Amino acid sequence: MTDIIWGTVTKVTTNNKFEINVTHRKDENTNTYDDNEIVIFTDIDIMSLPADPNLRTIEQIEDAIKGKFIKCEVIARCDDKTLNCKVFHSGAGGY
Amino acid sequence: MVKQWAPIYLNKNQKFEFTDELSNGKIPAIVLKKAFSLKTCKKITQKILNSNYITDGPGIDKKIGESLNSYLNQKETYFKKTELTDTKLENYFGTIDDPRIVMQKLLSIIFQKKISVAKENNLNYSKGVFRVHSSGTFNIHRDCARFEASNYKVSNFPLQFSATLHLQKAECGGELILYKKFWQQEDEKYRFPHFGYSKEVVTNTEFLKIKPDVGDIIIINPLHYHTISEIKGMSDRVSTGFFFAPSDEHALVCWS
Repeated sequence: MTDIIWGTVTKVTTNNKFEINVTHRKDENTNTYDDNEIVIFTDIDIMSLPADPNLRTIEQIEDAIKGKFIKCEVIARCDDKTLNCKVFHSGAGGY
Repeated sequence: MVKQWAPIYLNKNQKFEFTDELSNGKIPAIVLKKAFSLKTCKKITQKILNSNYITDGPGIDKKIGESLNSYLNQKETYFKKTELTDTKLENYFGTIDDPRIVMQKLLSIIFQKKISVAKENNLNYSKGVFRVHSSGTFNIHRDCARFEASNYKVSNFPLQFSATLHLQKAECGGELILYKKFWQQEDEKYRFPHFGYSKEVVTNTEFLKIKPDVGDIIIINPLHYHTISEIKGMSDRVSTGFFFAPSDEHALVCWS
């Protein structure tokens, strides 16, 4: 089973890397996750972003996810401690 | 003008002049009394509860009609499903007019503005959602298309109000609990993965409870945190509603 964490994006550093304040972790997760993690994403399922990763800018990524609550499916923890994840929009704060 | 944080009660066809106070939170809510007759509400409720169109969505187990929060990342699907569902619902109530359309007309009178369903690329937004709340508790939430539905044109409106018609009371509970606190972006850290926010977000916050009668319409600025008190008993709470916003000085648009 894939580990999943949720939280708000605090900083976008490059067009495929951001910092996240982790507030929720799936109960069945195999590994542990700090309250603050750095994520490198391989896939991001957010409608406003261009499908081609080469066309994405930091500004577009910031507009799409900075300050927002997202879900990260963890693929691996890299040697430099960053998390390799698939990133998704998560749930709703209201109707 | 307003000292106590309390709703304003209006009669059907009465006009409301204090939109600024409703938007800035000085007035917590407008309650439009007896907007629909008990007989009409009962007929609509029967149609809703016996419907085959009931689905679920974030924060609600039983609903009819589409809402943006189910399609935040699937805009094309939202508009396709909206067209299908609203076409079905147009004639679903038989001799009774679609209550969502009647509500639009009432809002037009209250706010003295034209009202229409929001459109994007010539496609209609959903006219509103019927919600059935059964026994249980419900997460605190706020509604904010500007932040959450940023891919949709309605996110460009700086203001957002909601209107809810109460069609059937729960046997026990089901009051609207409205907190004297607006959502702020920093509050996202209190989000739950699926729907709404942790209670911590309203710790020590003043709140009021509104127990609507059947046929009443409650209008709020849904950026205030709000929820429904725990429902107990056999009878479901049934309501319908939508969001609306001033699109210019003379017009309102609505969606859900």
